[in-house]
Amino acid sequence: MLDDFLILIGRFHPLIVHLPIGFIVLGILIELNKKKLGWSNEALKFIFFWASITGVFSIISGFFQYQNGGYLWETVQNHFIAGVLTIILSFSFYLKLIENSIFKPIPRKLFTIANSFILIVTGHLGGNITHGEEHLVEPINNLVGINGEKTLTVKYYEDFEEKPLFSSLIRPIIDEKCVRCHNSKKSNGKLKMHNSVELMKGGKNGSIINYDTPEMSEMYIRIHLPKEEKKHMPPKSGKQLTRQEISLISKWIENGSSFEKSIKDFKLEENIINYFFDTEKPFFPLIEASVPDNESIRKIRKNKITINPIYKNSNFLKVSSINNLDFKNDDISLLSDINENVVSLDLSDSKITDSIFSQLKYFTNLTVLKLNNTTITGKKINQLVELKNLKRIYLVNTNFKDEYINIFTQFKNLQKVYLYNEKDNFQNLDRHTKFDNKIFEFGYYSLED
Amino acid sequence: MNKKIKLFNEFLLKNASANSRRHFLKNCTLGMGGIALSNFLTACNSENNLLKNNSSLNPLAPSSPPNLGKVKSVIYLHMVGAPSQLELFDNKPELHKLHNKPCPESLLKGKKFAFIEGVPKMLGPQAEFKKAGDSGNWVSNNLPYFQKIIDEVSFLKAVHTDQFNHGPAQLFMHTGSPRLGRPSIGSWATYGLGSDNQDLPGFMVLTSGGGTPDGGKSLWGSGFLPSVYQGVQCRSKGDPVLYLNDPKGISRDLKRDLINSINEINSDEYKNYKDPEILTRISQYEMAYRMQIAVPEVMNINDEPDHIKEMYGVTPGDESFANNCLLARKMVSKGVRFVQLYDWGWDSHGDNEENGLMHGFKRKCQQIDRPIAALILDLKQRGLLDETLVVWGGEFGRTPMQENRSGVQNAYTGRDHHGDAFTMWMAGGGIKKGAVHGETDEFGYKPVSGRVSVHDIQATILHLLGFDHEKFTYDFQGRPFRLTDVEGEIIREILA
Repeated sequence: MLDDFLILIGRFHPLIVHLPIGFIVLGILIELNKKKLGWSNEALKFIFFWASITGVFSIISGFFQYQNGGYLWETVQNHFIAGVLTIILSFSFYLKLIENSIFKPIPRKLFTIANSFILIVTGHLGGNITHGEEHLVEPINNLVGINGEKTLTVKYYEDFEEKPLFSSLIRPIIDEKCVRCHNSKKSNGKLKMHNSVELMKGGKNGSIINYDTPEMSEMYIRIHLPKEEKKHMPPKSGKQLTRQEISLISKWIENGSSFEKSIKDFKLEENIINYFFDTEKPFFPLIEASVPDNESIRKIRKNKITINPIYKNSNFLKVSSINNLDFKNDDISLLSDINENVVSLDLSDSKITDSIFSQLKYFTNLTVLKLNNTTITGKKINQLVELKNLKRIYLVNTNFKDEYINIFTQFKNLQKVYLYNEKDNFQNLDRHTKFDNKIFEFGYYSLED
Repeated sequence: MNKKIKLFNEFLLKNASANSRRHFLKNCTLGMGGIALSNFLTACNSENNLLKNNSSLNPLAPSSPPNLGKVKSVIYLHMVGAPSQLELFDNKPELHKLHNKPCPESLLKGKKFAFIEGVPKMLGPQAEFKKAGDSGNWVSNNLPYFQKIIDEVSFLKAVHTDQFNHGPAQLFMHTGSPRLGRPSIGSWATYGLGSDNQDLPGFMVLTSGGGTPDGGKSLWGSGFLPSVYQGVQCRSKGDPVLYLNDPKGISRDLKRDLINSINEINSDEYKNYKDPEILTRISQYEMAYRMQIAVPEVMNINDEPDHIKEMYGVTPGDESFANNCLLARKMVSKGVRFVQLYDWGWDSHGDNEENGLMHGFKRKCQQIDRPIAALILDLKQRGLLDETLVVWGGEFGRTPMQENRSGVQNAYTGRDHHGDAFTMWMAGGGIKKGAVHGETDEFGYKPVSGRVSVHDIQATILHLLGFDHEKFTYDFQGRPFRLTDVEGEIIREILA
């Protein structure tokens, strides 16, 4: 009953704080215009008296908010100190106004400056708590167009198989979504979860893990309760566990809540693995490429060559001659400044010939190469063997000769070569049996049995 | 008189003070500060790179998605009228046992139907089902050719929609809202990615089956997006686009000069008014000029090799779904971003022969079965399936009950509209091969697991194109709008 009352008062903190803010701002404005106004002193006494009174209420309500709202002392500490300072300053100024002798030597201007400054600091720190540390940074960045670069961390299942499930997957979830309210400084329900020893101790109702009937574990039950239930964890207002996180934690508890058992032993379902890990190696190379400069881009675009990053913040480029079908072998020199940036090159339908290959070998990061509907025969395609990243080659409707097909077996990372030819009237049926169908696509499908 | 002069003088004084140096310094400093700040802030922008800020005046210039997409094109096959999942993909042997028995009370309680009244009879599956392919997924004997491509496809068997009338449901499926005014998914895609081929529209629409969708042309409309992003509908019969040929006595050069002059005037207007619709007009003139050459070429299926024509089963010169499938492949290989196919005639109520599950419906199945299988295989052999997403579905599904319009059994076997659970499928880049997500109860009436919404499907399509559907917005009437409104979750279960 009393607890709920205190919680209620705490909830009013964001409202109450605006009372002293209003008083102080009004007071500073009057102080700044006191010569013009002539009646300022009496008003200022009144204003700063009430600023102090409401300020004390703000601090009290703020304290209740901290106690019951699930905040760490570290997060509120500075805001609290700044708040107390604000009130002390207001009250000191009031004392000076009623001509208390201690404050006589301090100039009024100093009070005004200090009051304004501390008010801004307190307010900002408060904002950080309710809206998050980044609440100003984010819109400013958006305003000027700086996008927070996402760091590309790749986590492969194979690298983690042998590691304990708890430390590699469960711990990070608990750290992100539980520890805020269950740690050494703040332990709601007397439960601490910041390390395994404390986690096993449990809270005021005893252990949160039940080894005999895992499904009756407090932790298990609470994460499964509907969000609206009071006992649901994390609380409705906090960051919720995702579907996959709930099933992973459940699986961990169901299988004996072991801290050592490796990920492999849990035999996770495919969708869980896909959620927590990157299963396939990225298609495009995982290296950094330099930023292509505007001058060369302009020059290339002037020649009606389409050039764009593979996605907005990438320095890797996809280049296509789709809007310049007169593209000839020599035109490839336009791209010489950005050789290493090009990962996807489409020269389909253009006027290129086999001698293009001697130029293409300099595109070290080339991953996808499309030469459909050209007169390519495949002579000298061996020059591309050095391209370690080349994964897909499109040679649909070209004059590609059978004798060169074998060269592709020397390509290290080649995943697929498309050699379908509309005009190829089943002359070389044995292609389908002679070559690895996983890599070579000769097409010519028929819907008849 | 005196009073009037006084007033006038006061007016002059006020006027003068508004133009004085003092006024400027006193009252305009904040504004000047703001202007200076905004300049200073933009100067801070280190990303002033040509590749990242597409400053081109061409609204259809190709650009990059925020994330690495899996596909660059989409072919969306919409079966207008809502095909019956119970005669195609959702195998429900239990429903056989209830055939012709009155519908259990529990299925009708609190439900509203488009036509069913009172207690209808249950209707067992009107087709034989068979497991096909290596995946062993179910398909009915209505789609024999589909068996050949079943392993390429991921099924969604518990899609739900909250609309049970054609128009609103189609709008919902294509624009994310059952009411008019929102951009279609193809418009969103071209707005976000532009068009690779500058000689062709980025978003093209083809219809077949003899009718246009109930939702009308808003299904491929651009809504509040600039109208340059709306779908371009090609005629399915005769000249695909009218007036492609120059009139007598007008040479192509003369036309070029004319368009240049018009565009020059329009560019000046744009500089004055910054109205995106002026850019639309400029680019449409340009597009029309280039389309004169490009469209007859891409829309001509006569020059395709015979084995391709046979595979699709095309009939050149006619309006047919097979022709449209082949055209869709041609368009995608020429760099068209979004191809939308509508096939009309799937509203199998059983109220006439054409709408009967044993009659017209079976003919519809024959019309689409071969072309769809051919489309998938043709895309595959050209390497296009890896970078194209193929989506198949209707605007909703159909009831396991036989329709009794106004309480009287219909003349032919048919089913009513049903939005709680129906089947759609996707195939192509980024899609798992041979997967099934979602399951319905033993009658195919309610979802049991894996229920996905229309917004989920849209979120998934945008995801495959490289967009985060929650961040892909357009500001209109003072707030940002999304295709998926405030909902939608990517269906990861069918992603490779």
